[in-house]
Amino acid sequence: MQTRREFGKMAAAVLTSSALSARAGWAAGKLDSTVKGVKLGVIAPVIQPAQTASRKHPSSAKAADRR
Amino acid sequence: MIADYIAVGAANVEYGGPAEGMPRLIDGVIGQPPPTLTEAYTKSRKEVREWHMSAPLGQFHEARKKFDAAGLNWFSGVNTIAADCDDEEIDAIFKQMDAMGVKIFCTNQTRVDTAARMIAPAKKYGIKPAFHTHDKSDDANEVASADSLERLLKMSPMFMINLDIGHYTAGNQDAVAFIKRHHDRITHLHVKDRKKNHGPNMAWGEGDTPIKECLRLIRDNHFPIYAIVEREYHGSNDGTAVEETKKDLDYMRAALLS
Repeated sequence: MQTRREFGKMAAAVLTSSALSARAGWAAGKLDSTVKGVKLGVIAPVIQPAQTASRKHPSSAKAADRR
Repeated sequence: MIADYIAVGAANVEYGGPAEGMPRLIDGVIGQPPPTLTEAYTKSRKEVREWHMSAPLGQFHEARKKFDAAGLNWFSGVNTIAADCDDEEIDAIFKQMDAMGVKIFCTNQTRVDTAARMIAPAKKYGIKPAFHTHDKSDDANEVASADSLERLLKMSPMFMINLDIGHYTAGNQDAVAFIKRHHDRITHLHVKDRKKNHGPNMAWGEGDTPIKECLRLIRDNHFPIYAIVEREYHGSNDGTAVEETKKDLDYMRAALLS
């Protein structure tokens, strides 16, 4: 059974390796964020909340209204 | 924006698309009409409808070209089909998504009683609505309980599920069990960590959401289900949005590599 602290240490190690793998992905000409066959990604407002708020929720730009 | 996706190392992107010239809706409630209509809502809602009906499609084609050129997989759109959308407007929204080149979309705040009117445009455009889960599992009209999701899945083979495992858990539902039962109808997960009983968003690993279990279930069974970060926890915010998003992606990587 992994403790949260142990898992955090592993995540930190992955942070370094993932930066390397991202560069490797670009070296091959295309970004790849697939890990062990699972495709990872982001939803746009994760990064750009203001830009996409109206699109996600045309009723309001208030952050509290997002999902 | 595309530079941010590249910076976080995310090749797969869910994005609602450009909204050039889209009017702002006033007095709406999370994408739906307010309980009591206001003059401002009615006026702005009419303007939004007009935008859906008449916005030039070029901006959507151009956005697709930019994502493709960057090597990003813009795999899903986002759109709430509001209860007061008429059939023409629903068709127009699908037409916009068709111009974006997406084949699925997160239905965001769309409710169950709107779903029947989405069957025909879904078939017409070949775009599958992925019903996005929330935590109001005691409301049969909300996309939230396993029962409401299964009712939707029975309505059309085009209907899929965008299982938000954080919200689903907050609604005291079992995300692992749902994935086991309906993996072939789930397009993607929204990953976040919430507490049960409609609890708050937490730092990943501190809530009740079985993030690692869900990811490993997908991995071990080779289910073609995307795992998408939706960064709703803003408790620490030690870094920039890009840095915080990278942490979430690394959390998932660590779970999948162990």
